[in-house]
Amino acid sequence: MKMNDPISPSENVVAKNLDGEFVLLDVSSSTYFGLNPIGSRIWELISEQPRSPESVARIIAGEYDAEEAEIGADVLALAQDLLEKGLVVVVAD
Amino acid sequence: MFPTVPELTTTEPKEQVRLDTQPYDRWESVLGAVSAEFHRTDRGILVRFPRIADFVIARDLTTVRCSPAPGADMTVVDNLYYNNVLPLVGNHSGRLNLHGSAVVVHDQALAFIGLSRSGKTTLAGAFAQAGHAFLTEDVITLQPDEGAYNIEPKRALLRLFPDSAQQLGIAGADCEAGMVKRQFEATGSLPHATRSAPLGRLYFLGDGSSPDLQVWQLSKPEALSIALRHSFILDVEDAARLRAHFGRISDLVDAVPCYALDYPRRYDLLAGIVDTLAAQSGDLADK
Repeated sequence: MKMNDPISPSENVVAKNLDGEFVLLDVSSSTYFGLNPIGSRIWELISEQPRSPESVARIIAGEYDAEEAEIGADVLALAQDLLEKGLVVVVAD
Repeated sequence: MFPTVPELTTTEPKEQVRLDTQPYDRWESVLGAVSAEFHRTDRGILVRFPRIADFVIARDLTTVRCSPAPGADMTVVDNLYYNNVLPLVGNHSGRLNLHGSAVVVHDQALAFIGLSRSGKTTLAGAFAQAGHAFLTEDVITLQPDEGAYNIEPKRALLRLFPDSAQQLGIAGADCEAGMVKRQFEATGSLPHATRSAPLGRLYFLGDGSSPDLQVWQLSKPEALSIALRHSFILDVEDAARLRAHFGRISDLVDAVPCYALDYPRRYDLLAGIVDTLAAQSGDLADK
Protein backbone atom coordinates (compact mmCIF):
# COMPACT_ATOMS: atom_id res chain seq x y z
CA MET A 1 0.00 0.00 0.00
CA LYS A 2 1.17 3.51 -0.75
CA MET A 3 0.97 6.76 1.15
CA ASN A 4 -1.53 8.20 -1.31
CA ASP A 5 -3.93 5.21 -1.44
CA PRO A 6 -7.29 6.29 -0.01
CA ILE A 7 -8.70 3.84 2.52
CA SER A 8 -12.03 3.48 4.30
CA PRO A 9 -13.49 1.01 6.82
CA SER A 10 -14.53 -2.37 5.46
CA GLU A 11 -18.26 -3.02 5.24
CA ASN A 12 -17.66 -6.04 7.46
CA VAL A 13 -16.61 -3.90 10.38
CA VAL A 14 -18.80 -2.41 13.06
CA ALA A 15 -17.10 0.12 15.32
CA LYS A 16 -17.95 1.70 18.63
CA ASN A 17 -16.29 4.73 20.15
CA LEU A 18 -16.19 4.43 23.93
CA ASP A 19 -14.52 7.30 25.76
CA GLY A 20 -12.38 8.17 22.74
CA GLU A 21 -11.21 4.67 21.90
CA PHE A 22 -12.69 2.53 19.17
CA VAL A 23 -13.44 -1.16 19.51
CA LEU A 24 -13.91 -2.87 16.14
CA LEU A 25 -15.79 -6.06 15.41
CA ASP A 26 -15.15 -7.84 12.12
CA VAL A 27 -18.43 -9.64 11.60
CA SER A 28 -16.95 -11.82 8.84
CA SER A 29 -14.59 -13.46 11.31
CA SER A 30 -16.25 -12.62 14.67
CA THR A 31 -12.99 -11.11 15.83
CA TYR A 32 -12.62 -7.77 17.55
CA PHE A 33 -9.84 -5.28 17.90
CA GLY A 34 -9.10 -2.28 20.07
CA LEU A 35 -7.49 0.94 18.89
CA ASN A 36 -5.51 3.32 21.06
CA PRO A 37 -6.43 7.03 21.06
CA ILE A 38 -4.26 7.89 18.04
CA GLY A 39 -5.44 4.82 16.17
CA SER A 40 -8.98 5.81 17.07
CA ARG A 41 -8.47 9.28 15.65
CA ILE A 42 -7.18 7.72 12.42
CA TRP A 43 -10.22 5.46 12.32
CA GLU A 44 -12.48 8.46 12.84
CA LEU A 45 -10.86 10.33 9.96
CA ILE A 46 -11.13 7.47 7.47
CA SER A 47 -14.72 6.84 8.59
CA GLU A 48 -15.70 10.41 7.69
CA GLN A 49 -14.51 9.94 4.12
CA PRO A 50 -11.88 7.86 2.31
CA ARG A 51 -8.49 9.33 3.14
CA SER A 52 -4.95 8.32 2.30
CA PRO A 53 -2.31 7.79 5.01
CA GLU A 54 -0.68 10.94 3.68
CA SER A 55 -3.85 12.97 4.15
CA VAL A 56 -4.46 11.49 7.60
CA ALA A 57 -0.87 12.20 8.65
CA ARG A 58 -1.21 15.84 7.56
CA ILE A 59 -4.35 16.31 9.70
CA ILE A 60 -2.91 14.56 12.76
CA ALA A 61 0.41 16.39 12.49
CA GLY A 62 -1.56 19.61 12.63
CA GLU A 63 -3.60 18.49 15.62
CA TYR A 64 -0.58 17.28 17.60
CA ASP A 65 1.92 19.88 16.39
CA ALA A 66 4.21 17.10 15.14
CA GLU A 67 6.31 16.43 12.05
CA GLU A 68 4.17 15.10 9.21
CA ALA A 69 6.92 12.77 7.98
CA GLU A 70 7.30 11.20 11.40
CA ILE A 71 3.53 10.74 11.83
CA GLY A 72 3.24 9.48 8.25
CA ALA A 73 5.32 6.38 8.89
CA ASP A 74 3.16 5.43 11.88
CA VAL A 75 -0.08 6.07 10.00
CA LEU A 76 1.09 3.97 7.07
CA ALA A 77 2.10 1.13 9.39
CA LEU A 78 -1.31 1.14 11.06
CA ALA A 79 -3.10 1.39 7.72
CA GLN A 80 -1.17 -1.62 6.43
CA ASP A 81 -1.98 -3.56 9.57
CA LEU A 82 -5.68 -2.72 9.27
CA LEU A 83 -5.59 -3.68 5.59
CA GLU A 84 -3.96 -7.03 6.30
CA LYS A 85 -6.62 -7.76 8.93
CA GLY A 86 -9.36 -6.88 6.48
CA LEU A 87 -10.61 -3.99 8.58
CA VAL A 88 -10.11 -1.37 5.87
CA VAL A 89 -10.19 -1.40 2.09
CA VAL A 90 -8.36 0.66 -0.48
CA VAL A 91 -10.91 2.61 -2.47
CA ALA A 92 -10.61 4.02 -5.96
CA ASP A 93 -9.79 7.70 -6.24
CA MET B 1 -41.63 -11.09 16.35
CA PHE B 2 -39.80 -13.96 18.01
CA PRO B 3 -41.39 -15.78 20.93
CA THR B 4 -40.11 -15.05 24.42
CA VAL B 5 -39.57 -18.71 25.20
CA PRO B 6 -39.58 -21.45 22.57
CA GLU B 7 -41.70 -24.56 22.96
CA LEU B 8 -39.50 -27.39 24.22
CA THR B 9 -40.08 -31.01 23.30
CA THR B 10 -37.91 -33.81 24.60
CA THR B 11 -37.53 -37.08 22.73
CA GLU B 12 -36.54 -40.48 24.01
CA PRO B 13 -32.77 -40.83 24.47
CA LYS B 14 -30.98 -41.15 21.12
CA GLU B 15 -27.44 -42.04 20.17
CA GLN B 16 -25.50 -39.03 18.94
CA VAL B 17 -24.79 -40.30 15.45
CA ARG B 18 -21.97 -38.78 13.48
CA LEU B 19 -23.25 -35.80 11.49
CA ASP B 20 -22.58 -35.27 7.80
CA THR B 21 -22.05 -31.55 8.29
CA GLN B 22 -18.99 -29.80 9.64
CA PRO B 23 -19.69 -27.61 12.67
CA TYR B 24 -19.65 -23.91 11.84
CA ASP B 25 -18.76 -23.09 15.44
CA ARG B 26 -17.68 -24.91 18.56
CA TRP B 27 -17.15 -24.16 22.20
CA GLU B 28 -14.12 -25.51 23.98
CA SER B 29 -13.42 -25.81 27.66
CA VAL B 30 -10.33 -24.21 29.18
CA LEU B 31 -8.69 -27.62 28.84
CA GLY B 32 -9.44 -27.74 25.12
CA ALA B 33 -12.23 -30.32 25.19
CA VAL B 34 -15.19 -29.68 22.89
CA SER B 35 -18.17 -28.73 25.03
CA ALA B 36 -20.57 -27.83 22.21
CA GLU B 37 -20.73 -27.93 18.43
CA PHE B 38 -23.04 -25.97 16.17
CA HIS B 39 -24.35 -27.49 12.93
CA ARG B 40 -26.80 -26.24 10.33
CA THR B 41 -29.62 -28.62 9.49
CA ASP B 42 -32.67 -28.38 7.26
CA ARG B 43 -34.75 -27.52 10.33
CA GLY B 44 -32.52 -24.90 11.84
CA ILE B 45 -29.48 -25.18 14.06
CA LEU B 46 -28.39 -28.28 15.93
CA VAL B 47 -26.36 -27.65 19.07
CA ARG B 48 -24.61 -30.80 20.19
CA PHE B 49 -23.28 -31.18 23.70
CA PRO B 50 -21.17 -34.34 23.34
CA ARG B 51 -22.44 -37.33 25.30
CA ILE B 52 -25.20 -35.24 26.89
CA ALA B 53 -27.79 -33.99 24.40
CA ASP B 54 -28.61 -32.57 20.98
CA PHE B 55 -30.84 -29.52 20.79
CA VAL B 56 -32.41 -28.60 17.45
CA ILE B 57 -33.44 -24.96 17.44
CA ALA B 58 -36.02 -24.18 14.76
CA ARG B 59 -35.07 -21.49 12.28
CA ASP B 60 -37.97 -19.29 13.47
CA LEU B 61 -36.97 -19.93 17.12
CA THR B 62 -40.46 -21.14 18.03
CA THR B 63 -39.41 -24.63 19.04
CA VAL B 64 -36.49 -26.50 20.51
CA ARG B 65 -36.27 -30.28 20.29
CA CYS B 66 -34.06 -31.93 22.84
CA SER B 67 -32.68 -35.43 22.30
CA PRO B 68 -30.76 -36.62 25.35
CA ALA B 69 -27.90 -39.02 24.82
CA PRO B 70 -28.47 -42.49 26.32
CA GLY B 71 -27.57 -42.50 29.99
CA ALA B 72 -27.31 -38.72 30.23
CA ASP B 73 -28.19 -37.17 33.57
CA MET B 74 -31.48 -35.36 32.90
CA THR B 75 -30.64 -32.71 35.48
CA VAL B 76 -27.56 -31.84 33.44
CA VAL B 77 -29.65 -31.82 30.25
CA ASP B 78 -32.15 -29.54 31.94
CA ASN B 79 -29.41 -27.16 33.04
CA LEU B 80 -27.92 -27.06 29.56
CA TYR B 81 -31.30 -25.99 28.26
CA TYR B 82 -31.81 -23.24 30.84
CA ASN B 83 -28.24 -22.00 31.04
CA ASN B 84 -27.10 -22.32 27.43
CA VAL B 85 -29.84 -23.00 24.90
CA LEU B 86 -32.34 -20.42 26.18
CA PRO B 87 -29.70 -17.66 26.40
CA LEU B 88 -28.52 -18.52 22.87
CA VAL B 89 -32.08 -18.27 21.57
CA GLY B 90 -32.68 -15.11 23.60
CA ASN B 91 -29.64 -13.29 22.24
CA HIS B 92 -30.44 -14.45 18.71
CA SER B 93 -33.85 -12.83 19.04
CA GLY B 94 -32.50 -9.50 20.30
CA ARG B 95 -32.24 -9.89 24.04
CA LEU B 96 -29.12 -9.62 26.17
CA ASN B 97 -27.85 -12.57 28.21
CA LEU B 98 -24.36 -12.95 29.62
CA HIS B 99 -22.62 -15.79 31.40
CA GLY B 100 -22.65 -14.75 35.04
CA SER B 101 -24.26 -14.71 38.47
CA ALA B 102 -25.92 -11.80 40.25
CA VAL B 103 -26.92 -10.81 43.76
CA VAL B 104 -28.84 -7.91 45.30
CA VAL B 105 -26.99 -5.59 47.65
CA HIS B 106 -28.48 -2.31 48.88
CA ASP B 107 -31.33 -2.76 46.37
CA GLN B 108 -28.90 -2.92 43.45
CA ALA B 109 -27.73 -5.90 41.47
CA LEU B 110 -24.07 -6.80 41.38
CA ALA B 111 -23.25 -9.09 38.49
CA PHE B 112 -20.24 -11.39 38.34
CA ILE B 113 -19.32 -12.34 34.79
CA GLY B 114 -17.09 -15.33 34.30
CA LEU B 115 -16.43 -18.53 32.43
CA SER B 116 -17.40 -21.94 33.74
CA ARG B 117 -15.61 -22.79 36.97
CA SER B 118 -14.55 -19.21 37.57
CA GLY B 119 -16.27 -19.17 40.97
CA LYS B 120 -19.29 -17.06 40.14
CA THR B 121 -21.84 -19.42 41.69
CA THR B 122 -19.75 -19.88 44.82
CA LEU B 123 -19.48 -16.11 45.14
CA ALA B 124 -23.25 -15.72 44.69
CA GLY B 125 -23.71 -18.38 47.36
CA ALA B 126 -21.39 -16.53 49.73
CA PHE B 127 -23.38 -13.33 49.23
CA ALA B 128 -26.62 -15.22 49.84
CA GLN B 129 -25.24 -16.78 53.01
CA ALA B 130 -24.48 -13.22 54.17
CA GLY B 131 -28.10 -12.25 53.59
CA HIS B 132 -27.82 -10.73 50.10
CA ALA B 133 -30.35 -12.52 47.92
CA PHE B 134 -29.13 -14.08 44.71
CA LEU B 135 -30.90 -13.37 41.43
CA THR B 136 -29.21 -15.92 39.24
CA GLU B 137 -26.30 -18.31 39.40
CA ASP B 138 -25.17 -18.86 35.81
CA VAL B 139 -26.89 -16.57 33.30
CA ILE B 140 -27.81 -12.94 33.70
CA THR B 141 -30.65 -11.60 31.60
CA LEU B 142 -30.52 -7.83 31.24
CA GLN B 143 -33.55 -5.70 30.52
CA PRO B 144 -32.77 -2.18 29.25
CA ASP B 145 -34.71 0.46 31.17
CA GLU B 146 -34.26 4.08 30.08
CA GLY B 147 -30.48 4.04 29.94
CA ALA B 148 -30.13 1.63 32.86
CA TYR B 149 -30.50 -2.14 33.11
CA ASN B 150 -32.47 -4.50 35.29
CA ILE B 151 -31.48 -8.09 35.99
CA GLU B 152 -34.26 -10.65 36.07
CA PRO B 153 -34.43 -13.34 38.73
CA LYS B 154 -33.90 -16.87 37.45
CA ARG B 155 -34.46 -20.26 39.03
CA ALA B 156 -34.26 -20.30 42.82
CA LEU B 157 -31.37 -22.72 42.99
CA LEU B 158 -27.61 -22.73 43.13
CA ARG B 159 -25.53 -25.45 41.49
CA LEU B 160 -22.40 -26.03 43.50
CA PHE B 161 -19.74 -28.64 43.91
CA PRO B 162 -20.38 -30.47 47.19
CA ASP B 163 -17.20 -29.20 48.82
CA SER B 164 -18.09 -25.59 47.92
CA ALA B 165 -21.55 -25.98 49.39
CA GLN B 166 -20.14 -27.52 52.54
CA GLN B 167 -17.54 -24.79 52.96
CA LEU B 168 -20.24 -22.17 52.51
CA GLY B 169 -22.22 -23.87 55.26
CA ILE B 170 -25.25 -24.46 53.09
CA ALA B 171 -27.82 -26.66 54.79
CA GLY B 172 -28.03 -30.09 53.22
CA ALA B 173 -24.45 -30.14 51.99
CA ASP B 174 -22.66 -33.21 53.28
CA CYS B 175 -19.03 -34.19 53.32
CA GLU B 176 -18.96 -35.94 49.95
CA ALA B 177 -16.42 -34.80 47.47
CA GLY B 178 -17.13 -34.86 43.80
CA MET B 179 -16.73 -33.34 40.40
CA VAL B 180 -20.46 -33.13 39.76
CA LYS B 181 -22.39 -30.11 40.89
CA ARG B 182 -25.41 -30.50 43.12
CA GLN B 183 -28.44 -28.26 43.13
CA PHE B 184 -29.35 -26.41 46.29
CA GLU B 185 -32.71 -24.73 46.46
CA ALA B 186 -33.08 -21.29 48.00
CA THR B 187 -34.01 -21.20 51.67
CA GLY B 188 -34.39 -18.57 54.35
CA SER B 189 -30.67 -18.72 54.97
CA LEU B 190 -29.91 -18.89 51.24
CA PRO B 191 -32.26 -16.18 50.00
CA HIS B 192 -33.31 -15.77 46.39
CA ALA B 193 -34.58 -12.49 44.97
CA THR B 194 -37.97 -12.75 43.34
CA ARG B 195 -38.02 -9.35 41.66
CA SER B 196 -35.74 -7.72 39.11
CA ALA B 197 -33.12 -5.35 40.46
CA PRO B 198 -31.32 -2.44 38.77
CA LEU B 199 -27.78 -3.31 37.79
CA GLY B 200 -25.27 -1.30 39.81
CA ARG B 201 -21.98 -2.83 38.80
CA LEU B 202 -20.57 -5.47 36.50
CA TYR B 203 -17.57 -7.41 37.77
CA PHE B 204 -15.48 -9.54 35.42
CA LEU B 205 -13.91 -12.41 37.32
CA GLY B 206 -10.19 -13.11 36.92
CA ASP B 207 -8.49 -16.47 37.08
CA GLY B 208 -7.76 -16.45 40.80
CA SER B 209 -4.05 -15.75 40.45
CA SER B 210 -4.15 -12.53 42.50
CA PRO B 211 -2.51 -12.94 45.91
CA ASP B 212 -5.32 -10.97 47.54
CA LEU B 213 -8.55 -9.18 46.65
CA GLN B 214 -8.04 -6.93 43.64
CA VAL B 215 -10.75 -4.70 42.23
CA TRP B 216 -10.13 -2.06 39.60
CA GLN B 217 -12.33 -0.16 37.24
CA LEU B 218 -12.06 -1.10 33.58
CA SER B 219 -12.12 1.38 30.75
CA LYS B 220 -15.18 1.02 28.55
CA PRO B 221 -13.20 -0.41 25.61
CA GLU B 222 -11.58 -2.95 27.95
CA ALA B 223 -14.97 -3.89 29.37
CA LEU B 224 -16.47 -4.27 25.90
CA SER B 225 -13.67 -6.59 24.77
CA ILE B 226 -14.11 -8.78 27.84
CA ALA B 227 -17.92 -8.75 27.80
CA LEU B 228 -17.98 -9.96 24.20
CA ARG B 229 -16.22 -13.14 25.32
CA HIS B 230 -19.02 -13.92 27.74
CA SER B 231 -21.87 -13.61 25.27
CA PHE B 232 -24.10 -16.35 23.95
CA ILE B 233 -24.00 -16.27 20.16
CA LEU B 234 -26.01 -18.86 18.27
CA ASP B 235 -24.80 -18.02 14.78
CA VAL B 236 -21.36 -16.46 14.48
CA GLU B 237 -21.88 -16.21 10.73
CA ASP B 238 -25.00 -14.04 10.99
CA ALA B 239 -23.45 -10.62 10.37
CA ALA B 240 -26.60 -8.61 10.97
CA ARG B 241 -27.22 -10.20 14.35
CA LEU B 242 -23.56 -9.90 15.31
CA ARG B 243 -23.72 -6.17 14.60
CA ALA B 244 -26.86 -5.82 16.68
CA HIS B 245 -25.41 -7.84 19.54
CA PHE B 246 -22.21 -5.80 19.48
CA GLY B 247 -24.37 -2.68 19.76
CA ARG B 248 -26.27 -4.04 22.77
CA ILE B 249 -23.08 -5.00 24.62
CA SER B 250 -21.53 -1.62 23.77
CA ASP B 251 -24.54 0.19 25.19
CA LEU B 252 -24.32 -1.92 28.35
CA VAL B 253 -20.67 -1.17 29.14
CA ASP B 254 -21.27 2.47 28.25
CA ALA B 255 -24.04 2.70 30.86
CA VAL B 256 -22.83 0.52 33.74
CA PRO B 257 -19.56 0.78 35.72
CA CYS B 258 -17.41 -2.26 34.96
CA TYR B 259 -14.69 -3.68 37.17
CA ALA B 260 -12.11 -6.42 37.05
CA LEU B 261 -12.31 -8.60 40.14
CA ASP B 262 -9.83 -11.23 41.22
CA TYR B 263 -9.04 -12.99 44.47
CA PRO B 264 -7.51 -16.26 45.58
CA ARG B 265 -10.17 -18.98 45.43
CA ARG B 266 -10.00 -19.69 49.15
CA TYR B 267 -13.15 -20.30 51.12
CA ASP B 268 -11.78 -18.62 54.23
CA LEU B 269 -11.49 -15.33 52.33
CA LEU B 270 -15.00 -15.29 50.87
CA ALA B 271 -16.78 -13.63 53.78
CA GLY B 272 -14.30 -10.76 53.75
CA ILE B 273 -14.62 -10.38 49.99
CA VAL B 274 -18.40 -10.25 50.31
CA ASP B 275 -18.14 -7.60 53.02
CA THR B 276 -15.73 -5.46 50.97
CA LEU B 277 -17.80 -5.62 47.79
CA ALA B 278 -21.01 -4.99 49.69
CA ALA B 279 -19.46 -1.95 51.38
CA GLN B 280 -18.26 -0.60 48.02
CA SER B 281 -21.74 -1.14 46.64
CA GLY B 282 -23.13 0.77 49.63
CA ASP B 283 -20.83 3.69 48.79
CA LEU B 284 -22.20 3.62 45.28
CA ALA B 285 -25.79 3.55 46.53
CA ASP B 286 -25.13 6.54 48.81
CA LYS B 287 -23.92 8.68 45.91
